[in-house]
Amino acid sequence: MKHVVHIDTRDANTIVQLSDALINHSYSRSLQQWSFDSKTFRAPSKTEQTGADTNLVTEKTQYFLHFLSFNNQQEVLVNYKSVTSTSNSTQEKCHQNGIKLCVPGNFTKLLQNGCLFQENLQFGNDLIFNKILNSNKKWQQRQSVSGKQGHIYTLNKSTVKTINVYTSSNELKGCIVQIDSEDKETVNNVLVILNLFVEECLPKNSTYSLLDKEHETTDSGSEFQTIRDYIKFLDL
Amino acid sequence: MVQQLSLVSAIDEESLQVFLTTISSFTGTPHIAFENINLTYLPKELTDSSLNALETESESDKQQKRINLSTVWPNGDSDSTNTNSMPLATLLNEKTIGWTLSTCDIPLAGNNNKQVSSQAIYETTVGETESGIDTFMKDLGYGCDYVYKKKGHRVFHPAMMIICDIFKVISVMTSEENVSTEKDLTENGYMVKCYANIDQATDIESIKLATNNLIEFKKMLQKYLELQVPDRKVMDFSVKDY
Repeated sequence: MKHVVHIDTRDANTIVQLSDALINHSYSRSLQQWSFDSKTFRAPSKTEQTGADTNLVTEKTQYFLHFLSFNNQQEVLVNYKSVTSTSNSTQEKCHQNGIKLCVPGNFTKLLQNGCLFQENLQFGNDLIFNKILNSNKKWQQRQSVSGKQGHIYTLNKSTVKTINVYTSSNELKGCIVQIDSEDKETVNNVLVILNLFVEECLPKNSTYSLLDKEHETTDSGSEFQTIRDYIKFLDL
Repeated sequence: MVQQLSLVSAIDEESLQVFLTTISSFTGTPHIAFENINLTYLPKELTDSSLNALETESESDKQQKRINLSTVWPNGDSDSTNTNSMPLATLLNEKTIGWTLSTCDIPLAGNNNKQVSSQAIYETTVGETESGIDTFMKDLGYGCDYVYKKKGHRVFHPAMMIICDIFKVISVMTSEENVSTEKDLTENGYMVKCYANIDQATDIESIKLATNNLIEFKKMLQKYLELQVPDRKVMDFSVKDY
């Protein structure tokens, strides 16, 4: 089960206070940091002239391209069909606490067979995609959303992820808290902590809302789906 | 991004065994076989020509680049008499196969770059696709231009950090019935490419060292073959008509 909570704040330090609250109220520890980056590109509408010589039918199609990166994984979506591009350095399997990283199968083979020249493809190697998109006049960047200062905690049986979401103009759109757990009780416990936190630490008019109540996490692409949900919810 | 310094040459078909033995003894490492398949994609206009007519040939057109898709030829390990067992179409629709996407800048010009060719290569790997790599490229606005295979031997010089590839370039044509025919473009011979890769183009010291190593390597092999700087224009990935 996945619960996503949005804390409406304009203060970037809220996430630090939240971190304190989470650690104080339980025996949690921060495991690792995470971040995401989403870029949306759009191609000018397609004008397709079909049909016979007499009646010309004009068809307009929008093309969307989303560029998401999550930890060491990247996802490129063209018209909502995805391609996952993985950094070579994340070869070790990591299934800790619900975080699944894609394991590149035959990249060593690619290296040995002269397809790849770089041994350590660094994360964020979206240079090629940027190059393609920028050199190609049809793709125009429309939106950029990034998640920064993200932390992942383990509380009892659940995994809690926190992150600050920024728009392209570096404006803070609030803090997102995501609770992954199979156990309803632990989820409620975390929600109690969050409630207390909002009451105690934030200004009176602060609100928090539940984004997505019960979201099944089964497929590996769900991380990206969650990020897309964040963006959709925040109406960015 | 990787900066690749290279020198090229060619040898006769008959000289292969002698050359492999020579270069293996030079480098002290055995040669290994490699085989990969490369697909070159060209930007195709998503938009109709009527929209393009508004924009005349601009700088951005010239900046458009070809993209090279490359992966291990799946039949590479076995005896490649039955090359048709894995048709190209199947390979393109395979969802879990790993691909390398790469594109290059034109090699650097100028007097400083007359001894070796120095070229920036941008690459990334694609691990998973939802609907095959070809569909992805098509959606991105690219269409497959030509397909070729590189098959040959590779020798590594550990001390000098130089890789030497001796290979054949085989053009792969696919007919409408999905039958691929192969044509050896390097008939009666092999291409030889010696190169060194530097992770950072700003790493001047490594580039200097690699350049000197390549020149040294060239001197070492002087009696056997003449390594040359390839023409920079043919190494360009930009979409232009020459």
